[in-house]
Amino acid sequence: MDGIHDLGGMHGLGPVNPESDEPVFHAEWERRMFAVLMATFASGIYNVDEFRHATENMAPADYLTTSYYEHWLHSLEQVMIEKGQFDRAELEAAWSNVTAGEAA
Amino acid sequence: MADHDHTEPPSDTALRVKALESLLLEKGLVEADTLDALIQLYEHNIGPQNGAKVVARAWSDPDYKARLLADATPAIAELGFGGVQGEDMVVVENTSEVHNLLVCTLCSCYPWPVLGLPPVWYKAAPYRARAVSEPRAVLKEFGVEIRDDVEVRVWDSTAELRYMVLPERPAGTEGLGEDELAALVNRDSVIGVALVEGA
Amino acid sequence: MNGIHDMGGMHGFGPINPEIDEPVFHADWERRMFALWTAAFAAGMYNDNEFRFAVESRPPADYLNDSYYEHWLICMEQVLINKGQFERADLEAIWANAGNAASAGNAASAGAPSVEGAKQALPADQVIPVFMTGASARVDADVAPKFKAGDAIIARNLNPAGHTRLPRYLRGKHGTIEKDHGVFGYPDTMAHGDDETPQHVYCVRFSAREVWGESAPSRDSFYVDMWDDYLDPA
Repeated sequence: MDGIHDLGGMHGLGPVNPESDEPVFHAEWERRMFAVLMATFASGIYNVDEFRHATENMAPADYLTTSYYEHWLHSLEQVMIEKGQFDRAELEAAWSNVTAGEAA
Repeated sequence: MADHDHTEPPSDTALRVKALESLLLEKGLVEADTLDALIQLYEHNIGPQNGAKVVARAWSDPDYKARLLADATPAIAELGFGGVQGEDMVVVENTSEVHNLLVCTLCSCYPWPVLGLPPVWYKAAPYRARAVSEPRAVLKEFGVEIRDDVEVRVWDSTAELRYMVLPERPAGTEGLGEDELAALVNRDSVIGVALVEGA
Repeated sequence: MNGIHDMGGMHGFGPINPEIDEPVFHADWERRMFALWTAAFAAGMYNDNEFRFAVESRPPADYLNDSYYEHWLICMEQVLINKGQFERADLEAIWANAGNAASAGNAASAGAPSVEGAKQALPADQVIPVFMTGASARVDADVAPKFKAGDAIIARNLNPAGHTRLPRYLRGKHGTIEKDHGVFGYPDTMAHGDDETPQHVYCVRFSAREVWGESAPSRDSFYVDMWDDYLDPA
């Protein structure tokens, strides 16, 4: 698809801005996200093309304004639902539980 | 003089517009009455009813239609319409063989004198992106299905020519006068995302 | 520029979602914004080409997230500052007091139009004459056309960093000249304060299959206006 991800040649995105001595992960959640993705991928639930396609299908503004591991989060949720590993309702219940747990 | 932090604009867009307006008025760069006159002109006076009259005239008068298709700007001016964003007009005709669709993929170019200001959807990403790559799917979303043996022509307004579609006259309207015909014509049919329904 | 605005053919934007009986303006600030922009335009403070380039140059995420009249607002502030009509400090002074209902009169340089060549505000009684006449982009210059109706052309693969009206989805594509519209100013130079570079503009026909490949309907086509400088003979 000619999605927003297909950025080759695009102007207007600004300077590259590399971070000096960038850590592997910028937050604990990124570390967890990485691990979850790797574990599910290794178990063969989806392939890399399916995963990439989920990212490419993000709403373009969201693609541009969310970080790399947020893309992974979006796409893993998407692909797991598509593969019937859980449904949206179960995911939403998990969100509620976690939020309640945080508040407790 | 103390340095102050870079002031951020108000997060309320209405306040930000008001700030710009007050500054421009204060510097004498715009006049208050002018602003009111512009609003009156484009919110109330100019609109798709103009284009509907052009279409109705073309349906009713074959000589006018010929003039309109040959050199649209003076023909449209015969009805008293013209001006900004319509100085160089082109009218394209829908027939049993050709269906025309208008878009400006790069921004929002639109024939103001005959249609007024464009709707949000025309200026937004989904239409601008998809009208050229899948015009038939776009038309279907608008409820219009074009047969395979009809050519869909998409006009992308890249220059300063401004386009309008002359929709096909619906069957069963032979006895209608120009005013009645104009009442049938809606804005979407002049962009090419709708067909004109009969009375 | 190969900006986010150049969206012809892009996927991922979802349904069109037209609003039924959409009003001309969705809020009073939009109405005011339209009037401000148009009045300043008529007073010659900027041309269409340079304003379009300002909008195209917005950060892509902002371009996608902000509304149409928000683009006009933010770019108009920037363009007028760039043109020396006022300074950012003038705006900031008003913003700092933005909570107050009537915030006029707080600009640092009250009263004095600055400017490289003072622009005359358009008087209200000129609105109808000026706007019902408009100003054609045609240029009265004796420039020879490079092409004529029926000629086969290839749209150039130009990728300027500045303003252009040659969309990416058509670059390198083969087409046919349908009609010569005559001589117009050239946006790629006019957007940057340069010459009009008058040249012929043509209506060019491209087949849908040429542009999108074999999956496109065989009969369908594009009709797109292109300047001489966008085209090579095929």
